[in-house]
Amino acid sequence: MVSLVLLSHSLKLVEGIRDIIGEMAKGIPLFISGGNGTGGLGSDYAQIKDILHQAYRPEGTIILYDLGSTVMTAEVVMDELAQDMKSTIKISKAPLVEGSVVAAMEISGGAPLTDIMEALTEMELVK
Amino acid sequence: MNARDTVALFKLIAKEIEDNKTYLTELDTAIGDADHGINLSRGFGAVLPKLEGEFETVGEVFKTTAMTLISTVGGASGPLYGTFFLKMAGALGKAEIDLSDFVGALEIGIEGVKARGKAQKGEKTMLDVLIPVLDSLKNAATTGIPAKDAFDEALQAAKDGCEYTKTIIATKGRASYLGDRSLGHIDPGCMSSQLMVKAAAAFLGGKA
Repeated sequence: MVSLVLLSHSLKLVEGIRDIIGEMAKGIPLFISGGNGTGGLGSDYAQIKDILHQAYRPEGTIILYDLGSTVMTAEVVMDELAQDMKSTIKISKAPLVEGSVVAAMEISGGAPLTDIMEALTEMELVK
Repeated sequence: MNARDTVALFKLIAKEIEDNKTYLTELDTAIGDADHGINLSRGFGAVLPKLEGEFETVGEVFKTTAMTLISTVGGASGPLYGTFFLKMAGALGKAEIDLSDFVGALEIGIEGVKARGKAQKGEKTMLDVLIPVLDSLKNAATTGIPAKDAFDEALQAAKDGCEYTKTIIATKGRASYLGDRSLGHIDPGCMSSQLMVKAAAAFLGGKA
């Protein structure tokens, strides 16, 4: 099963999205990171590194994010990964809330990575 | 410049950031998310104890600084300055470097920032200071003037670059959401980059 990683500046934001997804698609591999790790807004390199490792699935991983700097931190982590692991991770520019729901539903239906990314590409924002 | 000098330089940069923490956050309050000074101060505060280690090459000092900033800053400046110093580290694996080594590393560091931020010059980012500084130092390296004078000229280029950001609209980062309301404001990332150049100029001035 493809895994889903949600990154935000705010922990509350991704916790809320996790609640929304939980109502509709239970039991999917879902990982969240929000805030700077000390209760403030921002991003936490160590936590993002940790969840990207936890989220690793041979079938693939999709990252959705809100604002640019969270994804930059994820990209720093990805640069440190071995190429075969890095190549399983796709970053989507779909809107975080709606994209998360679409991705979660696709994942719970057992869709492959390429199909899910195709569905998300149609929703892409400029970000 | 050897590893010990590099440690001293980064300590000076940390002091410069700490001294201007409030100012950087004020700039970021105007057009960003009001945390640039706080974040960088936390990052460089964490770098300081790491600089007490033993380093053989200049690059090792850059790498330690980079990894600490990536781990502790928490905002966009973490991955950006982290990538910048990390890419530079890769090009500075020597016990002693000269101005042309530094210029070569700076160019690689700037390429790293462009790739990480998907940004170019003229988008109201730290690149609007870093690229003019590179051009100035490149020019100085070919004329063979002392490093101290080269950095004095580079500091002027950095100041001009910062002033220039007042005249342009941000198209990258949080300030881009403001549209033309970002006009008239200095980019905070430019200012922190300028402060680093200022520290380098002061360091070389003190050494000469």
